[in-house]
Amino acid sequence: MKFNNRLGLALFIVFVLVLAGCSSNSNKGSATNAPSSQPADAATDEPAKLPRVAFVYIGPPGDGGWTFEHDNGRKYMEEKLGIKADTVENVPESADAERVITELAQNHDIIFTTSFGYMDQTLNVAKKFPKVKFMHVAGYKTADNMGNYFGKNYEASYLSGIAAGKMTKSNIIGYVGAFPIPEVIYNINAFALGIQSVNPDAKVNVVWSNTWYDPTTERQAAISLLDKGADVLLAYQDSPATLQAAAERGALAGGNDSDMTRYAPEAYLTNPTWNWGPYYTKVVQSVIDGTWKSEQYSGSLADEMVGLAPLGSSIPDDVKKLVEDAKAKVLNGELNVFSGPITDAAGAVKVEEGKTMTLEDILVMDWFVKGVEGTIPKN
Amino acid sequence: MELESGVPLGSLGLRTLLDSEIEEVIAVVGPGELPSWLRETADAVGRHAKLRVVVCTNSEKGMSQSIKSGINAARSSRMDAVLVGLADQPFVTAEMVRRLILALEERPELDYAASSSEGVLMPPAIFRLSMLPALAALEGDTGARKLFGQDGYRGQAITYDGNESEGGLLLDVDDLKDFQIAIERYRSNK
Repeated sequence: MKFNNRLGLALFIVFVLVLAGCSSNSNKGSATNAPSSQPADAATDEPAKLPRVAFVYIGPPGDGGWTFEHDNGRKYMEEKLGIKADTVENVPESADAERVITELAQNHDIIFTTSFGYMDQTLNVAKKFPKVKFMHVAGYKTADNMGNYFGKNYEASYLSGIAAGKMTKSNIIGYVGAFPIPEVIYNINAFALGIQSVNPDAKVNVVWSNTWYDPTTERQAAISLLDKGADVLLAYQDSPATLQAAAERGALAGGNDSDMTRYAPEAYLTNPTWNWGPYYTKVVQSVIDGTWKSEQYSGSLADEMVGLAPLGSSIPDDVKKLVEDAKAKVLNGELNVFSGPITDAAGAVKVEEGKTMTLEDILVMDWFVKGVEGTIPKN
Repeated sequence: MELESGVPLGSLGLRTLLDSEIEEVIAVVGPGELPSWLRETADAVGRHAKLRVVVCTNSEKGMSQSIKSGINAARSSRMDAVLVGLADQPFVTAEMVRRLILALEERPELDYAASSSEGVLMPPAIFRLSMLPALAALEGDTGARKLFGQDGYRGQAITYDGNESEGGLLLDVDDLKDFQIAIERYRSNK
């Protein structure tokens, strides 16, 4: 009996690097020690015609969400430009990331570090390798050879909120947040504002998982919200665990980062999605062209870096139309998610009527809007 | 660690796996470790697309953690089985890999097939998907060997005891003495 995987024979090997009793298992550019003190920079003075590209991932592409979409973006870029990039998966947000990035910097021309928590490590390595280009996602620090990029996914969070606000019966909506950082906070707030635009009585109950990718922990957090009566959930996580937990209870939920319909079609609400491919292609092309420069890029629904997953099959047409109409208003500028009046959870006016928050203020948001129940732990 | 200049110890085994009919090779590395020879080896044999590199964040807790990391990474891929190979076994050949695959193909009742020398089962070993939960449940530094011979799993040993040369195929470089043996064998094989 031949193995009959989709490609005839598909075996996946765990190739375990174990050299017990032997120190470094590499002599070339080993990253086992502290990051190299040598300012040596393997990149040539001229960018290679086809640059050597690398991606650092916080999780596996199989997470179905965050890394899944970055990996899709990588594949898109590879196909468009005929480049084979290198990836390193499951890199923790710690000094270990700096070692990995340092190692990559010695034989790559541009490195994408795809998690907020890589920001300082990326900057540290960028300073040591001035001829290598670094692109960091979701952060705010830059250098001459380091840019960052992200998108206004809060626009899609707002739209998701409209759907959630219309679908909830209990008026208790749960949110599984990863970490209490501005990126997650402003998405929770946008979600809540979207809910309140159609259902002022609904509340958003927030639980922090303190992990980007840990399906078990995410599931437990989701269950705790369901136990409190939430009948609609959303998550700022990298896996579909929240959606799957909701489906088991007959609740509705969205995931994050990608279209997660496939994980629980009948329980699916919608959620923000990412489409990184065109941007990755543009950036790497600029390296090829010799025109790359550091920037802080913010995509949106308009340039389609940000998207909204198709609303679930159980969402009625009138709700879908509400969401589509709101999306159209976002696209034509008629609707700005963070336009006043906006009051925080303590009752203070944070944005006056007629005013709109600047992107700079949004990106450092550290307070919940009224209607969000939860705490923001101080670091 | 190089067997000779430009030939890292782990590159031989990696090259064997990349050149085999196995579709994807997941290289599990410790936190902060990213040997350049991983990619260099893949590039040298034109198998860049076949290699994934995954960090095991708690590899200090033993080989079981590295196996778990690899299993978790592999879950997103369609597969029939998982073959576990070690970077410190430089003399594993393509034929040895093929014999493991054949063992599971020809005997559907088997859960695993493992290499064997002097009665001891060891990697490279191949595990059918039925054994993935057990692999993922390993703890400490025991590795997959703990599962060999356990009740409930049927396996086959592929023995390499024919002659000195054959026995050396499974050399596992654990210390400097083994490393010296490996260098000498590598030179004599050239």
